[in-house]
Amino acid sequence: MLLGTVGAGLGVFNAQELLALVSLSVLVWLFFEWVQFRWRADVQLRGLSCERLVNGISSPTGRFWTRRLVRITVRVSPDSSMRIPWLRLEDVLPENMECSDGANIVDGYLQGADPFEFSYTATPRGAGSAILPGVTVRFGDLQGLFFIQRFLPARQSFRVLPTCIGIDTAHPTTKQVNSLPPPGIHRMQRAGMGSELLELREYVPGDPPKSIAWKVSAKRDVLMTRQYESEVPVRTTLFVDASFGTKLGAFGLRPIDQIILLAGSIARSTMSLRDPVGLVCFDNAHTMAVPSGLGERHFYRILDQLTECAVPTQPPLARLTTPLLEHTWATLQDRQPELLLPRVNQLPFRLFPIRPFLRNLNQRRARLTAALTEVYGLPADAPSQLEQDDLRLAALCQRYLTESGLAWTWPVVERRGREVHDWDARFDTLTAALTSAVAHGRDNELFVLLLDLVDYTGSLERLKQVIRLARARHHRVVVICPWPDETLKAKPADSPEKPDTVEDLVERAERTRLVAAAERLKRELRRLGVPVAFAADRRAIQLTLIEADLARSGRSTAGVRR
Amino acid sequence: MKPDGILKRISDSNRDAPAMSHRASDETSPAFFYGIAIAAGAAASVTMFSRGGAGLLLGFAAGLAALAILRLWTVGILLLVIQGALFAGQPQRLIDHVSLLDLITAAGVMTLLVAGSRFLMIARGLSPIVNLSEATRRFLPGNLRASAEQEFTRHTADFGIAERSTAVLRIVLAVAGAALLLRVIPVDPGALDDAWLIPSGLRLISLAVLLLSIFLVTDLLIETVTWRSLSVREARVFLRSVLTVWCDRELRAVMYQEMKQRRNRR
Repeated sequence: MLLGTVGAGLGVFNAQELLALVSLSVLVWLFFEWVQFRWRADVQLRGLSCERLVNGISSPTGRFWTRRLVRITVRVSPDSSMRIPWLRLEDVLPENMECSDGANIVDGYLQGADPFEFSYTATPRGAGSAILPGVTVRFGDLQGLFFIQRFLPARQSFRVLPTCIGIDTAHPTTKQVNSLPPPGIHRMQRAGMGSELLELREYVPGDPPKSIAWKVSAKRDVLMTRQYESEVPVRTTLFVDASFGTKLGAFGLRPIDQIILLAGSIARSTMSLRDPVGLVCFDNAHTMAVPSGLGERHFYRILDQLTECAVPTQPPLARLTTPLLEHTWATLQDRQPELLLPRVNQLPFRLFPIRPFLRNLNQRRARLTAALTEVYGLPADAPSQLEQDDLRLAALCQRYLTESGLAWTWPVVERRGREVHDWDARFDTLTAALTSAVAHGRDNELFVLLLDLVDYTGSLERLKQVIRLARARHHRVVVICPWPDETLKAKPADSPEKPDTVEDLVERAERTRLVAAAERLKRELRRLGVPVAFAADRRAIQLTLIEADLARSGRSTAGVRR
Repeated sequence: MKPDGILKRISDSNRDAPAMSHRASDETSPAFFYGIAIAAGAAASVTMFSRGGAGLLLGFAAGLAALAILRLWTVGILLLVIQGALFAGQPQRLIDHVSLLDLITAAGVMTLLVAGSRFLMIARGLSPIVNLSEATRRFLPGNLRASAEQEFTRHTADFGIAERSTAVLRIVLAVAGAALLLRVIPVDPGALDDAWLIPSGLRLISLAVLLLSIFLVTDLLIETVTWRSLSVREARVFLRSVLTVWCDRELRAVMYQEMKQRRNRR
């Protein structure tokens, strides 16, 4: 435009007709393009609407399963006949989903009133929630002169349930022989009211006469009483660690993902033997319990509760850093670009700061505060307060990013902050929950503690005390810790390979630290007769099932340990 | 860079940076060396004529700068060259009408510009010049780089068929409109007597006023239509921001006072 203006001016002033004509032609061309672009961008694009079909259903809520494909079809329809030569559409995916087949970003054009449609396949990464907010429309003219970005909201919210691992339990679920108790009822080698004989003992006044073994009494010349076995259900209670520390990391790689996968699989395997399963979810402050139960409905209740645990809530407070602001700005620009337009979001004139970088940063922050004020319906003076209050703005940025589907990774949380791993609070809630379970439970129950203890270097005495209490009441306890890297076995810490880079050195050091922490945990808990597993695979589930078997039989032999 | 394996657990950088600005793709890295070679060749040719080290340096710097700016301003550079040639080569003549040859020439230049712009927009990835300058652009400071909006390139050539045919119409309209403007505002031989201005000066001012008026009226019309179609959220943000602009000084004074009191309490 500048060249056209200068050229036209020079041409007219110097009486060079051809120069003036060429330059004016450029100006007129630019003018036409500008008018057409603004009409399309400001008037026609507002008439677009979006509809999304997820697995053929356009319901605003629904349910996914991790690692199972989801077919998504997006249809963008104009409200009237329009001609947009080309536009780029992006169905915004949360971090919890990845596009697996096809593309969620496509180029297209609108001609007449026909809708534009595209499809792709996506896979949820981790349990929790997945919100599909809408479609970003990027539109420019064919010459690359102008550009605009709009967002078409089409919010659909889904719960992502964990896909459980199927374990062959090799237990008959139908009663084959009459002497066997019915499924879900196990013979326990303690005195009770079962049908199988446990032992014979001398008669004690008060024993029912029908239990007297007359033949044996006649032989021994002493009254003997038959003692029968107990027939009990073995209840399994899963203690799921849903504290802040377990939610750190990318979706699908968080400790909570492994914990949930394990808990779901154990629940499924145990319930397939008709053993009742209960669930206790705890974090740094709260405990949420699902009482023991059986059946498909109860299993889905447990899965729902596990999914609820995996949903990232408000993370621990972080400092307001430039990357946090930039991420919030970029996300807001993607999801609600109209709130950041200078024409709508005006700023007061300020002389300082004069340096362009700082000035730009300040202006961006001011626009961000105004937009967040609108998003969260804050009072009218909130922008001014937020401009001065770093902590409050940081909390709002974190909230916005988390609600937008970003995982708890940097810069949403500062993972080195001590507030992320509040071990004292975690042990407080765990010990309270376990003590309550022991107090309310009967004998011979199985407690599975799914804890992220690998990073803990302090004393385990509080945990050991409560485990001793459970063991004293004849309960069995299994501890399973999520493991950060499954390749650990492939590359042992004392591998003779020489590290090449700093990353290799850090990786080796981290590996060594983890192995040492795992050994320490195993050593300390094994003394209490508690098996410990470090994995989220079939072996950990099998270990739990072995312990459940032992609990059913009433024997005290320790199970297989990894 | 995202870490792999066990380092993911302790790493702080397991998410890509937000797309605040465009990053050059790795595919263009060989093009940088190609560009260096071309720039060196250009510099060598310049040296042949200038016989001096300064010429080599100048040529090298000019080559790199040209590569850097060619990426987005290819059409601009083309227009500048054409305008320069016309400015230097065309004779001055005070006539009111444009000839048919001028119209054809202008249409030819416009065709070149429009086609060039469209080619760069649609097939930017295919252009070696673009790849070349893309690679060079990595070495520019951040604030000299183009914003993310300008990086909006199209990957496929699939667009509305009607839009292809309108290119000719645009060129014809642009040239006809320019010719009409020049005809509407002719050279006034009596400008010196009437307005105390040389005829071409008066014509320039009249043309500028006419163009500005057309622009302002059109902008006003579109702005009015756009303003009336604001969403409720946009309107709320606008109202709140206007309120903040009006009361900015007072609000800041209150805030500072509160902060001061809070500090004193501590």
